[in-house]
Amino acid sequence: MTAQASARSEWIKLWSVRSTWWCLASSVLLMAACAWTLGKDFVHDLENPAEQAVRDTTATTMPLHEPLVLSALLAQFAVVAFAMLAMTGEYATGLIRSTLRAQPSRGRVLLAKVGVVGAVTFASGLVLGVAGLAAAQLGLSDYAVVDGGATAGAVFRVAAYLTLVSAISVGMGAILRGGVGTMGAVLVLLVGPLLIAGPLSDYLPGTAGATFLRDGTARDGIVLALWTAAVLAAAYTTLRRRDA
Amino acid sequence: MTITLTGLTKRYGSTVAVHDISLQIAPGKVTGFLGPNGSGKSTTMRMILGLDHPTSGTALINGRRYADIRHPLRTVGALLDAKAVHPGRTARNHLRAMAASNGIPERRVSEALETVGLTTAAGKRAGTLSLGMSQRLGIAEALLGDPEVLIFDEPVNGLDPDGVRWVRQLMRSLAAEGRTVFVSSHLMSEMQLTADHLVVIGKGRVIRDAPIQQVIAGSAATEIRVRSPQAEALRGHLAAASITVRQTAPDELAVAGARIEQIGDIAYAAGVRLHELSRQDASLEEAYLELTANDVEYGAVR
Repeated sequence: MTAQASARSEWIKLWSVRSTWWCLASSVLLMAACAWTLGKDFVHDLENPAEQAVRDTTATTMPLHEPLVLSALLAQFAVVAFAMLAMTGEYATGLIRSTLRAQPSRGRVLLAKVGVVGAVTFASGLVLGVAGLAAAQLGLSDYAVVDGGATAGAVFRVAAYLTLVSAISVGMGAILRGGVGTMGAVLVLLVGPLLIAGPLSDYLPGTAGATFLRDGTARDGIVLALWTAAVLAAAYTTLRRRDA
Repeated sequence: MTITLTGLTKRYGSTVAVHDISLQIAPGKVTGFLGPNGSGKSTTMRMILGLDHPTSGTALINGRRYADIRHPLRTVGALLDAKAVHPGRTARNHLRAMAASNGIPERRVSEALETVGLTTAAGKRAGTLSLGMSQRLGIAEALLGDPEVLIFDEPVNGLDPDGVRWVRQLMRSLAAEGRTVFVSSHLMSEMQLTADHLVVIGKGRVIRDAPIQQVIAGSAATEIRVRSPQAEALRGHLAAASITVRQTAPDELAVAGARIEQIGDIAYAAGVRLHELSRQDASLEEAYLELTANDVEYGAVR
Protein backbone atom coordinates (compact mmCIF):
# COMPACT_ATOMS: atom_id res chain seq x y z
CA MET A 1 0.00 0.00 0.00
CA THR A 2 2.48 2.60 1.10
CA ALA A 3 5.04 1.11 -1.27
CA GLN A 4 2.59 1.62 -4.11
CA ALA A 5 1.94 5.22 -3.00
CA SER A 6 5.66 5.95 -2.89
CA ALA A 7 6.12 4.48 -6.36
CA ARG A 8 3.25 6.59 -7.70
CA SER A 9 4.86 9.69 -6.22
CA GLU A 10 8.21 8.84 -7.82
CA TRP A 11 6.50 8.22 -11.14
CA ILE A 12 4.93 11.69 -11.07
CA LYS A 13 8.24 13.25 -10.07
CA LEU A 14 10.07 11.50 -12.89
CA TRP A 15 7.82 12.64 -15.69
CA SER A 16 7.26 16.20 -14.43
CA VAL A 17 10.82 17.39 -15.07
CA ARG A 18 12.38 17.98 -18.46
CA SER A 19 15.69 16.31 -17.65
CA THR A 20 14.00 12.88 -17.85
CA TRP A 21 12.89 13.50 -21.42
CA TRP A 22 16.22 15.00 -22.41
CA CYS A 23 18.22 12.13 -20.99
CA LEU A 24 16.06 9.42 -22.53
CA ALA A 25 15.99 11.17 -25.90
CA SER A 26 19.79 11.54 -25.73
CA SER A 27 20.23 7.86 -24.99
CA VAL A 28 18.23 6.89 -28.08
CA LEU A 29 20.23 9.33 -30.17
CA LEU A 30 23.58 8.08 -28.87
CA MET A 31 22.55 4.48 -29.34
CA ALA A 32 21.33 4.96 -32.90
CA ALA A 33 24.22 7.18 -33.97
CA CYS A 34 26.80 4.76 -32.62
CA ALA A 35 25.15 1.65 -34.09
CA TRP A 36 24.79 3.31 -37.47
CA THR A 37 28.43 4.46 -37.46
CA LEU A 38 29.72 1.02 -36.52
CA GLY A 39 27.75 -0.55 -39.33
CA LYS A 40 28.75 2.07 -41.83
CA ASP A 41 32.40 1.76 -40.82
CA PHE A 42 32.34 -2.00 -41.32
CA VAL A 43 30.89 -1.61 -44.79
CA HIS A 44 33.32 1.16 -45.68
CA ASP A 45 36.36 -0.92 -44.72
CA LEU A 46 34.99 -3.92 -46.55
CA GLU A 47 34.29 -2.10 -49.78
CA ASN A 48 37.56 -0.17 -49.97
CA PRO A 49 40.57 -2.30 -50.91
CA ALA A 50 42.83 0.36 -49.39
CA GLU A 51 41.39 -0.33 -45.96
CA GLN A 52 41.87 -4.08 -46.09
CA ALA A 53 45.25 -3.86 -44.37
CA VAL A 54 43.84 -2.24 -41.25
CA ARG A 55 40.82 -4.51 -40.88
CA ASP A 56 40.96 -6.70 -37.82
CA THR A 57 38.53 -9.22 -39.21
CA THR A 58 38.08 -11.17 -42.37
CA ALA A 59 34.33 -11.39 -41.99
CA THR A 60 32.27 -10.23 -44.93
CA THR A 61 29.04 -9.88 -42.97
CA MET A 62 28.20 -8.64 -39.49
CA PRO A 63 25.51 -9.94 -37.16
CA LEU A 64 22.90 -7.18 -36.90
CA HIS A 65 23.08 -7.12 -33.12
CA GLU A 66 26.84 -6.82 -32.90
CA PRO A 67 26.96 -2.99 -32.86
CA LEU A 68 24.57 -2.99 -29.88
CA VAL A 69 27.34 -3.74 -27.37
CA LEU A 70 29.52 -0.68 -27.97
CA SER A 71 26.47 1.47 -28.65
CA ALA A 72 24.92 0.55 -25.31
CA LEU A 73 28.22 1.27 -23.54
CA LEU A 74 28.07 4.75 -25.03
CA ALA A 75 24.34 5.35 -24.53
CA GLN A 76 24.61 4.29 -20.89
CA PHE A 77 25.95 7.71 -19.95
CA ALA A 78 22.59 9.27 -20.72
CA VAL A 79 20.92 6.51 -18.71
CA VAL A 80 23.30 7.09 -15.79
CA ALA A 81 22.42 10.80 -15.88
CA PHE A 82 18.71 10.03 -15.98
CA ALA A 83 18.84 7.58 -13.08
CA MET A 84 21.23 9.56 -10.94
CA LEU A 85 19.15 12.75 -11.25
CA ALA A 86 16.21 11.03 -9.57
CA MET A 87 18.33 11.07 -6.41
CA THR A 88 20.89 13.87 -6.77
CA GLY A 89 18.20 16.24 -8.04
CA GLU A 90 16.44 15.93 -4.69
CA TYR A 91 19.60 16.64 -2.74
CA ALA A 92 20.47 19.61 -4.93
CA THR A 93 17.12 21.26 -4.25
CA GLY A 94 16.46 20.05 -0.71
CA LEU A 95 13.37 18.21 -1.90
CA ILE A 96 14.75 15.08 -0.23
CA ARG A 97 13.46 16.48 3.08
CA SER A 98 9.93 16.57 1.73
CA THR A 99 10.34 13.08 0.32
CA LEU A 100 11.55 11.71 3.64
CA ARG A 101 8.78 13.50 5.53
CA ALA A 102 6.26 11.87 3.20
CA GLN A 103 7.89 8.46 3.56
CA PRO A 104 10.12 8.28 6.65
CA SER A 105 11.26 4.76 5.83
CA ARG A 106 14.57 5.22 4.02
CA GLY A 107 14.36 1.70 2.64
CA ARG A 108 10.98 2.36 1.03
CA VAL A 109 12.16 5.62 -0.52
CA LEU A 110 15.20 3.87 -2.02
CA LEU A 111 13.09 0.94 -3.18
CA ALA A 112 10.51 3.23 -4.81
CA LYS A 113 13.19 5.17 -6.66
CA VAL A 114 15.15 2.12 -7.80
CA GLY A 115 11.91 0.39 -8.78
CA VAL A 116 10.44 3.20 -10.83
CA VAL A 117 13.73 4.27 -12.40
CA GLY A 118 14.60 0.64 -13.08
CA ALA A 119 11.25 -0.12 -14.69
CA VAL A 120 11.46 2.94 -16.91
CA THR A 121 15.06 2.08 -17.78
CA PHE A 122 14.18 -1.50 -18.69
CA ALA A 123 11.42 -0.33 -21.01
CA SER A 124 13.71 2.33 -22.52
CA GLY A 125 16.42 -0.32 -22.81
CA LEU A 126 14.18 -2.41 -25.04
CA VAL A 127 13.42 0.67 -27.12
CA LEU A 128 17.13 1.47 -27.26
CA GLY A 129 17.91 -2.07 -28.40
CA VAL A 130 15.37 -1.91 -31.20
CA ALA A 131 16.50 1.58 -32.19
CA GLY A 132 20.09 0.30 -32.25
CA LEU A 133 19.10 -2.60 -34.49
CA ALA A 134 17.29 -0.30 -36.89
CA ALA A 135 20.28 2.06 -37.04
CA ALA A 136 22.70 -0.85 -37.49
CA GLN A 137 20.57 -2.19 -40.34
CA LEU A 138 20.71 1.22 -41.95
CA GLY A 139 24.49 1.30 -41.66
CA LEU A 140 25.14 -2.33 -42.69
CA SER A 141 22.43 -2.57 -45.34
CA ASP A 142 23.18 -5.76 -47.32
CA TYR A 143 26.00 -6.89 -45.04
CA ALA A 144 23.83 -7.59 -42.02
CA VAL A 145 22.97 -11.11 -40.99
CA VAL A 146 20.11 -11.68 -38.62
CA ASP A 147 19.74 -14.58 -36.25
CA GLY A 148 16.35 -14.09 -34.58
CA GLY A 149 17.21 -15.66 -31.25
CA ALA A 150 20.60 -13.99 -30.89
CA THR A 151 19.15 -10.62 -31.85
CA ALA A 152 16.33 -10.82 -29.32
CA GLY A 153 18.81 -11.95 -26.67
CA ALA A 154 21.07 -8.99 -27.39
CA VAL A 155 18.18 -6.53 -27.06
CA PHE A 156 17.15 -8.10 -23.79
CA ARG A 157 20.71 -7.88 -22.50
CA VAL A 158 20.88 -4.18 -23.34
CA ALA A 159 17.73 -3.61 -21.29
CA ALA A 160 18.92 -5.80 -18.41
CA TYR A 161 22.39 -4.26 -18.35
CA LEU A 162 21.07 -0.69 -18.38
CA THR A 163 18.56 -1.52 -15.64
CA LEU A 164 21.37 -2.66 -13.34
CA VAL A 165 23.38 0.42 -14.29
CA SER A 166 20.40 2.63 -13.40
CA ALA A 167 20.12 0.98 -9.99
CA ILE A 168 23.85 1.53 -9.38
CA SER A 169 23.38 5.19 -10.35
CA VAL A 170 20.43 5.73 -8.01
CA GLY A 171 22.30 4.05 -5.16
CA MET A 172 25.49 5.99 -5.78
CA GLY A 173 23.45 9.20 -5.97
CA ALA A 174 21.99 8.44 -2.53
CA ILE A 175 25.45 7.88 -1.10
CA LEU A 176 27.23 10.87 -2.65
CA ARG A 177 24.28 13.28 -3.08
CA GLY A 178 26.08 15.50 -5.61
CA GLY A 179 25.67 15.01 -9.35
CA VAL A 180 29.31 15.48 -10.30
CA GLY A 181 30.65 13.07 -7.70
CA THR A 182 28.02 10.49 -8.55
CA MET A 183 28.73 10.64 -12.27
CA GLY A 184 32.44 10.31 -11.52
CA ALA A 185 32.01 7.34 -9.21
CA VAL A 186 29.72 5.50 -11.64
CA LEU A 187 32.22 6.08 -14.46
CA VAL A 188 35.00 4.69 -12.30
CA LEU A 189 32.91 1.57 -11.68
CA LEU A 190 31.72 1.08 -15.25
CA VAL A 191 34.54 2.39 -17.42
CA GLY A 192 37.58 2.18 -15.17
CA PRO A 193 37.75 -1.65 -15.19
CA LEU A 194 37.71 -1.69 -19.02
CA LEU A 195 41.06 0.07 -18.97
CA ILE A 196 42.84 -2.48 -16.81
CA ALA A 197 43.62 -6.00 -17.97
CA GLY A 198 44.02 -9.09 -15.84
CA PRO A 199 41.82 -11.67 -14.17
CA LEU A 200 40.76 -9.28 -11.39
CA SER A 201 39.12 -7.06 -13.95
CA ASP A 202 36.57 -9.77 -14.71
CA TYR A 203 35.11 -9.30 -11.27
CA LEU A 204 34.69 -5.55 -11.59
CA PRO A 205 31.34 -4.18 -12.73
CA GLY A 206 32.60 -2.52 -15.90
CA THR A 207 34.26 -5.57 -17.40
CA ALA A 208 31.62 -8.00 -16.18
CA GLY A 209 28.90 -5.74 -17.57
CA ALA A 210 30.55 -5.36 -20.97
CA THR A 211 31.18 -9.11 -21.21
CA PHE A 212 27.59 -9.83 -20.23
CA LEU A 213 26.38 -7.43 -22.91
CA ARG A 214 28.53 -9.13 -25.56
CA ASP A 215 28.32 -12.80 -24.64
CA GLY A 216 25.39 -13.04 -22.28
CA THR A 217 27.40 -15.19 -19.87
CA ALA A 218 25.47 -15.80 -16.69
CA ARG A 219 28.55 -15.45 -14.50
CA ASP A 220 29.19 -11.91 -15.69
CA GLY A 221 25.54 -10.98 -15.26
CA ILE A 222 25.68 -12.26 -11.70
CA VAL A 223 28.89 -10.32 -10.98
CA LEU A 224 27.24 -7.09 -12.14
CA ALA A 225 24.08 -7.88 -10.16
CA LEU A 226 26.15 -8.47 -7.01
CA TRP A 227 27.90 -5.14 -7.47
CA THR A 228 24.49 -3.51 -7.86
CA ALA A 229 23.27 -5.16 -4.68
CA ALA A 230 26.38 -3.99 -2.82
CA VAL A 231 25.93 -0.38 -3.94
CA LEU A 232 22.24 -0.46 -2.95
CA ALA A 233 23.06 -1.97 0.44
CA ALA A 234 25.61 0.79 1.02
CA ALA A 235 23.04 3.38 -0.09
CA TYR A 236 20.44 1.99 2.30
CA THR A 237 22.85 2.03 5.23
CA THR A 238 23.95 5.56 4.40
CA LEU A 239 20.37 6.84 4.09
CA ARG A 240 19.42 5.27 7.39
CA ARG A 241 22.34 6.65 9.34
CA ARG A 242 22.68 10.10 7.84
CA ASP A 243 20.65 13.11 8.90
CA ALA A 244 18.61 14.46 6.04
CA MET B 1 -2.32 16.36 19.22
CA THR B 2 0.52 17.26 21.50
CA ILE B 3 4.17 17.33 20.50
CA THR B 4 6.25 16.07 23.40
CA LEU B 5 10.00 16.54 23.54
CA THR B 6 11.83 14.67 26.28
CA GLY B 7 15.50 15.28 26.93
CA LEU B 8 15.97 15.96 23.25
CA THR B 9 19.67 16.39 22.50
CA LYS B 10 21.66 16.71 19.30
CA ARG B 11 25.44 16.77 19.20
CA TYR B 12 27.64 17.23 16.15
CA GLY B 13 31.05 16.08 17.32
CA SER B 14 31.84 18.29 20.28
CA THR B 15 29.25 20.93 19.35
CA VAL B 16 25.94 20.67 21.15
CA ALA B 17 23.24 22.00 18.84
CA VAL B 18 20.29 21.05 21.03
CA HIS B 19 20.78 20.39 24.72
CA ASP B 20 18.31 18.36 26.73
CA ILE B 21 15.12 20.07 25.58
CA SER B 22 11.96 18.92 27.29
CA LEU B 23 8.68 20.59 26.49
CA GLN B 24 5.14 20.10 25.32
CA ILE B 25 3.58 21.89 22.40
CA ALA B 26 -0.14 21.89 22.96
CA PRO B 27 -2.99 21.80 20.45
CA GLY B 28 -5.40 24.66 19.94
CA LYS B 29 -2.82 27.40 20.05
CA VAL B 30 0.01 28.93 18.13
CA THR B 31 3.31 28.22 19.82
CA GLY B 32 6.07 30.55 18.73
CA PHE B 33 9.60 29.19 18.64
CA LEU B 34 12.17 31.92 19.09
CA GLY B 35 15.89 32.04 19.36
CA PRO B 36 18.96 33.63 17.79
CA ASN B 37 20.53 32.19 14.65
CA GLY B 38 22.24 28.90 15.39
CA SER B 39 20.29 28.36 18.60
CA GLY B 40 18.95 24.99 17.44
CA LYS B 41 15.44 25.84 16.24
CA SER B 42 15.69 24.19 12.84
CA THR B 43 17.54 21.19 14.24
CA THR B 44 14.78 20.71 16.81
CA MET B 45 12.13 20.89 14.10
CA ARG B 46 14.03 18.44 11.91
CA MET B 47 14.25 15.99 14.81
CA ILE B 48 10.49 16.25 15.41
CA LEU B 49 9.99 15.44 11.72
CA GLY B 50 12.26 12.40 11.79
CA LEU B 51 14.80 13.98 9.44
CA ASP B 52 17.66 14.24 11.94
CA HIS B 53 18.38 11.53 14.46
CA PRO B 54 18.54 12.78 18.07
CA THR B 55 21.77 11.95 19.89
CA SER B 56 19.52 11.19 22.85
CA GLY B 57 15.98 11.88 24.00
CA THR B 58 12.75 11.59 22.06
CA ALA B 59 10.37 13.71 20.04
CA LEU B 60 6.86 12.28 19.97
CA ILE B 61 3.72 13.39 18.20
CA ASN B 62 0.67 12.22 20.05
CA GLY B 63 2.88 9.62 21.68
CA ARG B 64 4.36 8.28 18.44
CA ARG B 65 7.67 8.80 16.73
CA TYR B 66 7.30 10.54 13.38
CA ALA B 67 8.79 7.53 11.59
CA ASP B 68 6.05 5.33 13.04
CA ILE B 69 3.19 7.40 11.67
CA ARG B 70 1.51 5.86 8.64
CA HIS B 71 0.96 8.44 5.87
CA PRO B 72 2.61 11.13 8.01
CA LEU B 73 1.61 14.03 5.76
CA ARG B 74 -1.98 13.45 6.86
CA THR B 75 -0.96 13.99 10.48
CA VAL B 76 1.90 16.47 10.34
CA GLY B 77 2.34 19.22 7.76
CA ALA B 78 5.54 21.19 7.64
CA LEU B 79 7.26 24.01 5.85
CA LEU B 80 11.01 23.95 6.39
CA ASP B 81 12.50 25.56 3.32
CA ALA B 82 10.33 27.18 0.68
CA LYS B 83 13.00 26.76 -1.98
CA ALA B 84 13.20 23.00 -1.49
CA VAL B 85 11.30 22.26 -4.69
CA HIS B 86 12.65 21.09 -8.03
CA PRO B 87 12.86 24.35 -10.01
CA GLY B 88 11.74 22.65 -13.21
CA ARG B 89 8.60 21.07 -11.77
CA THR B 90 5.34 22.97 -11.78
CA ALA B 91 3.72 23.91 -8.50
CA ARG B 92 0.80 21.59 -9.22
CA ASN B 93 3.01 18.62 -10.13
CA HIS B 94 5.08 19.13 -7.02
CA LEU B 95 1.94 18.93 -4.90
CA ARG B 96 0.58 16.00 -6.93
CA ALA B 97 3.74 14.01 -6.24
CA MET B 98 3.57 14.83 -2.53
CA ALA B 99 -0.13 13.96 -2.37
CA ALA B 100 0.35 10.64 -4.18
CA SER B 101 3.02 9.57 -1.71
CA ASN B 102 0.50 9.61 1.13
CA GLY B 103 -2.61 8.53 -0.73
CA ILE B 104 -4.08 12.02 -0.51
CA PRO B 105 -6.80 12.57 -3.15
CA GLU B 106 -5.96 14.85 -6.12
CA ARG B 107 -8.71 17.29 -5.28
CA ARG B 108 -6.76 18.30 -2.17
CA VAL B 109 -4.06 19.63 -4.50
CA SER B 110 -6.49 22.09 -6.05
CA GLU B 111 -7.94 22.96 -2.66
CA ALA B 112 -4.52 23.64 -1.15
CA LEU B 113 -3.50 25.74 -4.16
CA GLU B 114 -6.68 27.74 -3.78
CA THR B 115 -6.20 28.21 -0.03
CA VAL B 116 -2.80 29.79 -0.57
CA GLY B 117 -3.90 31.77 -3.62
CA LEU B 118 -1.71 29.98 -6.16
CA THR B 119 -4.43 28.63 -8.44
CA THR B 120 -3.41 30.83 -11.35
CA ALA B 121 0.28 30.08 -10.85
CA ALA B 122 -0.24 26.31 -10.50
CA GLY B 123 1.17 25.60 -13.95
CA LYS B 124 4.30 27.67 -13.44
CA ARG B 125 7.64 26.00 -12.89
CA ALA B 126 8.65 26.36 -9.25
CA GLY B 127 11.95 27.96 -10.25
CA THR B 128 10.11 30.91 -11.73
CA LEU B 129 8.11 31.65 -8.57
CA SER B 130 9.07 34.60 -6.38
CA LEU B 131 10.19 33.89 -2.82
CA GLY B 132 6.77 34.93 -1.60
CA MET B 133 5.01 32.57 -3.99
CA SER B 134 7.44 29.75 -3.10
CA GLN B 135 6.55 30.37 0.52
CA ARG B 136 2.87 29.99 -0.36
CA LEU B 137 3.63 26.77 -2.24
CA GLY B 138 5.45 25.47 0.83
CA ILE B 139 2.44 26.32 2.98
CA ALA B 140 0.15 24.58 0.46
CA GLU B 141 2.34 21.49 0.78
CA ALA B 142 2.02 21.63 4.57
CA LEU B 143 -1.77 21.88 4.34
CA LEU B 144 -2.10 19.14 1.71
CA GLY B 145 -2.95 16.29 4.07
CA ASP B 146 -5.27 18.41 6.25
CA PRO B 147 -2.95 17.62 9.19
CA GLU B 148 -3.64 18.08 12.89
CA VAL B 149 -0.09 19.27 13.53
CA LEU B 150 1.62 22.06 11.59
CA ILE B 151 5.26 23.02 11.82
CA PHE B 152 6.51 26.14 10.07
CA ASP B 153 10.10 27.34 9.97
CA GLU B 154 10.16 31.06 9.18
CA PRO B 155 6.92 31.02 7.15
CA VAL B 156 6.73 34.75 6.49
CA ASN B 157 10.18 35.07 4.93
CA GLY B 158 9.87 36.98 1.71
CA LEU B 159 6.16 37.70 2.00
CA ASP B 160 4.76 41.18 1.39
CA PRO B 161 2.71 42.84 4.18
CA ASP B 162 -0.47 41.38 2.73
CA GLY B 163 1.09 37.92 2.75
CA VAL B 164 2.38 38.36 6.29
CA ARG B 165 -1.11 39.22 7.46
CA TRP B 166 -2.54 36.30 5.55
CA VAL B 167 -0.11 33.88 7.22
CA ARG B 168 -0.99 35.34 10.62
CA GLN B 169 -4.69 34.83 10.03
CA LEU B 170 -4.07 31.33 8.67
CA MET B 171 -2.10 30.32 11.76
CA ARG B 172 -4.72 31.79 14.07
CA SER B 173 -7.52 29.97 12.29
CA LEU B 174 -5.61 26.66 12.21
CA ALA B 175 -5.10 26.93 15.95
CA ALA B 176 -8.73 27.93 16.45
CA GLU B 177 -9.72 24.69 14.73
CA GLY B 178 -7.89 22.87 17.50
CA ARG B 179 -4.72 22.08 15.58
CA THR B 180 -1.22 22.22 16.98
CA VAL B 181 0.72 25.05 15.35
CA PHE B 182 4.46 25.33 16.01
CA VAL B 183 6.12 28.21 14.22
CA SER B 184 9.57 29.75 14.32
CA SER B 185 10.21 33.32 13.32
CA HIS B 186 12.62 36.19 13.65
CA LEU B 187 9.94 38.80 13.26
CA MET B 188 9.09 39.68 16.85
CA SER B 189 6.35 42.15 16.04
CA GLU B 190 4.70 39.46 13.94
CA MET B 191 5.09 36.82 16.63
CA GLN B 192 3.58 39.16 19.18
CA LEU B 193 0.43 39.27 17.04
CA THR B 194 0.37 35.57 16.15
CA ALA B 195 1.55 33.45 19.05
CA ASP B 196 -0.32 32.40 22.19
CA HIS B 197 2.59 30.63 23.75
CA LEU B 198 6.33 31.08 23.39
CA VAL B 199 9.31 28.83 23.60
CA VAL B 200 12.57 30.76 23.58
CA ILE B 201 15.81 28.87 23.14
CA GLY B 202 19.42 29.98 23.15
CA LYS B 203 22.49 27.86 22.49
CA GLY B 204 20.30 24.80 22.30
CA ARG B 205 18.67 25.23 25.71
CA VAL B 206 15.17 26.33 26.64
CA ILE B 207 15.34 29.80 28.16
CA ARG B 208 11.62 30.42 28.51
CA ASP B 209 8.50 28.34 27.94
CA ALA B 210 5.43 30.39 28.88
CA PRO B 211 2.30 32.13 27.60
CA ILE B 212 3.22 35.23 25.63
CA GLN B 213 1.63 37.63 28.16
CA GLN B 214 3.83 36.21 30.90
CA VAL B 215 6.96 36.59 28.81
CA ILE B 216 6.16 40.21 28.13
CA ALA B 217 5.05 40.98 31.68
CA GLY B 218 8.25 39.42 32.96
CA SER B 219 10.41 41.80 30.99
CA ALA B 220 12.26 44.56 32.80
CA ALA B 221 11.10 46.82 30.01
CA THR B 222 7.52 46.39 31.19
CA GLU B 223 6.92 49.43 33.38
CA ILE B 224 4.11 51.13 35.20
CA ARG B 225 3.56 54.71 34.26
CA VAL B 226 2.36 57.02 37.01
CA ARG B 227 1.28 60.63 36.39
CA SER B 228 0.66 62.79 39.39
CA PRO B 229 0.86 66.50 40.24
CA GLN B 230 2.69 65.30 43.37
CA ALA B 231 5.15 63.07 41.55
CA GLU B 232 8.05 64.23 43.65
CA ALA B 233 6.34 63.24 46.89
CA LEU B 234 5.17 59.89 45.54
CA ARG B 235 8.67 59.12 44.42
CA GLY B 236 9.85 59.37 48.03
CA HIS B 237 7.09 57.09 49.27
CA LEU B 238 7.86 54.47 46.61
CA ALA B 239 11.57 54.64 47.31
CA ALA B 240 10.79 54.11 50.98
CA ALA B 241 9.06 50.85 49.97
CA SER B 242 12.28 49.94 48.09
CA ILE B 243 10.66 50.23 44.67
CA THR B 244 12.83 51.43 41.81
CA VAL B 245 11.52 54.60 40.26
CA ARG B 246 12.59 56.72 37.36
CA GLN B 247 11.35 60.27 36.90
CA THR B 248 10.49 60.63 33.22
CA ALA B 249 8.84 64.07 33.39
CA PRO B 250 8.09 66.62 36.14
CA ASP B 251 4.70 64.96 36.73
CA GLU B 252 5.53 61.44 35.52
CA LEU B 253 7.24 58.40 37.00
CA ALA B 254 8.20 55.05 35.51
CA VAL B 255 8.15 52.15 37.94
CA ALA B 256 9.63 48.75 37.22
CA GLY B 257 9.35 45.55 39.19
CA ALA B 258 6.22 46.39 41.16
CA ARG B 259 2.59 45.43 40.82
CA ILE B 260 0.15 48.09 39.77
CA GLU B 261 -2.05 47.47 42.88
CA GLN B 262 0.91 48.04 45.16
CA ILE B 263 1.58 51.46 43.69
CA GLY B 264 -2.09 52.42 43.87
CA ASP B 265 -2.21 51.42 47.51
CA ILE B 266 0.95 53.36 48.39
CA ALA B 267 -0.39 56.46 46.68
CA TYR B 268 -3.73 56.13 48.47
CA ALA B 269 -2.10 55.67 51.86
CA ALA B 270 0.10 58.72 51.26
CA GLY B 271 -2.83 60.80 50.02
CA VAL B 272 -1.16 61.46 46.68
CA ARG B 273 -3.46 62.33 43.77
CA LEU B 274 -2.99 60.26 40.64
CA HIS B 275 -3.87 61.28 37.07
CA GLU B 276 -2.70 58.09 35.47
CA LEU B 277 -1.70 54.65 36.62
CA SER B 278 -1.11 52.30 33.73
CA ARG B 279 1.01 49.39 32.66
CA GLN B 280 3.30 49.98 29.67
CA ASP B 281 3.98 46.58 28.22
CA ALA B 282 7.38 45.89 26.82
CA SER B 283 7.39 44.84 23.20
CA LEU B 284 8.09 41.18 22.56
CA GLU B 285 11.28 42.34 20.91
CA GLU B 286 12.49 43.98 24.12
CA ALA B 287 11.53 40.93 26.18
CA TYR B 288 13.21 38.62 23.68
CA LEU B 289 16.46 40.58 23.47
CA GLU B 290 16.63 40.63 27.24
CA LEU B 291 16.13 36.86 27.45
CA THR B 292 18.64 35.97 24.79
CA ALA B 293 21.25 38.62 25.58
CA ASN B 294 23.67 36.00 26.85
CA ASP B 295 22.88 33.39 24.25
CA VAL B 296 23.60 35.02 20.95
CA GLU B 297 25.91 32.75 19.01
CA TYR B 298 26.78 35.11 16.18
CA GLY B 299 26.18 38.54 17.66
CA ALA B 300 27.58 41.97 16.97
CA VAL B 301 28.99 43.77 19.98
CA ARG B 302 26.17 45.54 21.75
